[in-house]
Amino acid sequence: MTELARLHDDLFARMQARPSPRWKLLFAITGGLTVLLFALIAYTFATGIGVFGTNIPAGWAFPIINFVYWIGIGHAGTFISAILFLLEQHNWRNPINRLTETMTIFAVMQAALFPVLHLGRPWFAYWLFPYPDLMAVWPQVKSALPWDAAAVTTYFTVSVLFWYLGMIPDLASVRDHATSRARRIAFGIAAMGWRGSAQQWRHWRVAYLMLASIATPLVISVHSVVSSDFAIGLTPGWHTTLQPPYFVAGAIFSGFAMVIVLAIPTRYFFRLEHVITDRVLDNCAKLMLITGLIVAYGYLLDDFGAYYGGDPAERTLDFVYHPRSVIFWVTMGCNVVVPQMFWARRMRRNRTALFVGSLLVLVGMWGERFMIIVEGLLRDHIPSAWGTYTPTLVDLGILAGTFGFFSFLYLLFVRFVPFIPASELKEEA
Amino acid sequence: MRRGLVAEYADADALLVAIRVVRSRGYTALEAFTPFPVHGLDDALGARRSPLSIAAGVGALGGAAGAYALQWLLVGYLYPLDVGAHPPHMPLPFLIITIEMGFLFGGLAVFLACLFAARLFRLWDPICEVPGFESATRDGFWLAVGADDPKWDGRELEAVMHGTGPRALHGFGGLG
Repeated sequence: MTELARLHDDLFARMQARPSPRWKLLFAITGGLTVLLFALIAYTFATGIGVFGTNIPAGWAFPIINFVYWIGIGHAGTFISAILFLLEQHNWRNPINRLTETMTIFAVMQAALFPVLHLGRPWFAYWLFPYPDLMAVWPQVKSALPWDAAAVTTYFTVSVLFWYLGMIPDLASVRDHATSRARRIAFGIAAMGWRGSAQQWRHWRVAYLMLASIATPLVISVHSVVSSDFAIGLTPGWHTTLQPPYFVAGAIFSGFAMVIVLAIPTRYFFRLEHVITDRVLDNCAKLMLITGLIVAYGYLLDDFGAYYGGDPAERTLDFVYHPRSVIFWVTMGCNVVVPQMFWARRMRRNRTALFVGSLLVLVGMWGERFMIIVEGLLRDHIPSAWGTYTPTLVDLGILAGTFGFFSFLYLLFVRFVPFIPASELKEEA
Repeated sequence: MRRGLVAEYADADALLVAIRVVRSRGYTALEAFTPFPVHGLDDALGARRSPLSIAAGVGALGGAAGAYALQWLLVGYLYPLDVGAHPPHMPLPFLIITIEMGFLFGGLAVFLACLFAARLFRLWDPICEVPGFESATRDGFWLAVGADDPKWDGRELEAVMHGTGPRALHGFGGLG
């Protein structure tokens, strides 16, 4: 048997292993959370968004935090699959690129739920798009919100195209070596008649390169556009030119944390330690450390801006409110202190440290979004407009539900789809 | 390629050598099938560079131009609204959607062009009936020569391909 055949059989045998009881248990738990999510969405639609804790002055709260957070999670996927592709980091990009692209797509799906939920009248969500309208009222493109709709739609669509195009050769592999007729037909349709001819590869390579080149600026542009939702507002903590780079760095930071959180159990359950090696995780941890440092620099610069700008509202927020806020200290601990342990190679190679550290970063980045979005609104320019905010059980349930739905989709994906890009690993071999 | 001869080789180098041999005999209707994109295969087959980057460029420019025009039409012309004392036609805020739609339509164009150029959606081909051809997506490197080749001479070609040391040699589409 040739080296290639051995690699192929090994990868596909592992990817198509029968689900273990632990997979089934996780599947049941995440399935339950998914049901909870859709039940709460139905409840919200039926009752109205009064069921959220969102109030005046905190008119943007959990739904917007979750939107920004989930969009951010997606970024590392595109970073790995597109930017590292163009930079030719194939040896550590290839083993995880499909996992991370999938993570991107599922994360953006969670994010896309929230603006619609937050509309109050979700059945008018299509007003965001410039359809031929008899009332002659169209999206106001001088506002940041239609920019957001355009950026997120583009990001999702291009991510799906890039992901699917990259997967076609492997879908054809599954089709050609399928054991049952049903699988053969399903994957035969999904692979769209891919035969690996030189003509197909020739066009495929150029198309893949082009999509990578298109996805690369999207990594930077999407969260920059999301950040302008805040940056062009006057609220303290929002109104700063710091936002776009700070949001993008934070997005990639939290995305790499999610990559590590997904990759460690995946390689464990499917026994893929020889494919998703310690070196791959080591590099992810390094990038998490770097983007974490950029985020820490962002916190510093934010405080400097408040001090140097001299705006009383900004100063009150940064120097009076934040030091008394639990969320602020949790964020600083998780995002600034915790990643510092990844300076040590020993920690980057330690599964438990990586996993726990990444989970804490995920908590910290959620806290950061809360800090930016809600705390600024609670300490607006006029003290008489100050207020408090408490989330409701529905808010918390929907947040938990999106984590469940995300994991549910991910579990289904690793069960049915070739999640290691076999053809790209063969090329490297 | 509906009829012809097809041979399987154990590795990419053997395939490239075989292509050189068969082409040196004047055959031109060649196609190779490999489990991954093989470096140098296009040069060996004498194929031109894929023109798909043009599709991406045209799609991106068209998308961007259309988006800008649409924004101008909607908020600059049909329903001008005074926002922050900005003029109705204001290029700066239009730029973001313009750029995003450039990316979106560039991506869609190159994806659809790839499906078209790579002849996808053709789920079956006579060559799929060749026994063992499924190794083209596993570890086999296949070379097919079509019977529509102007130089076609089945017996001679069979001898030539035998000489290149294939793992297997078959006819397809009703040939031998």
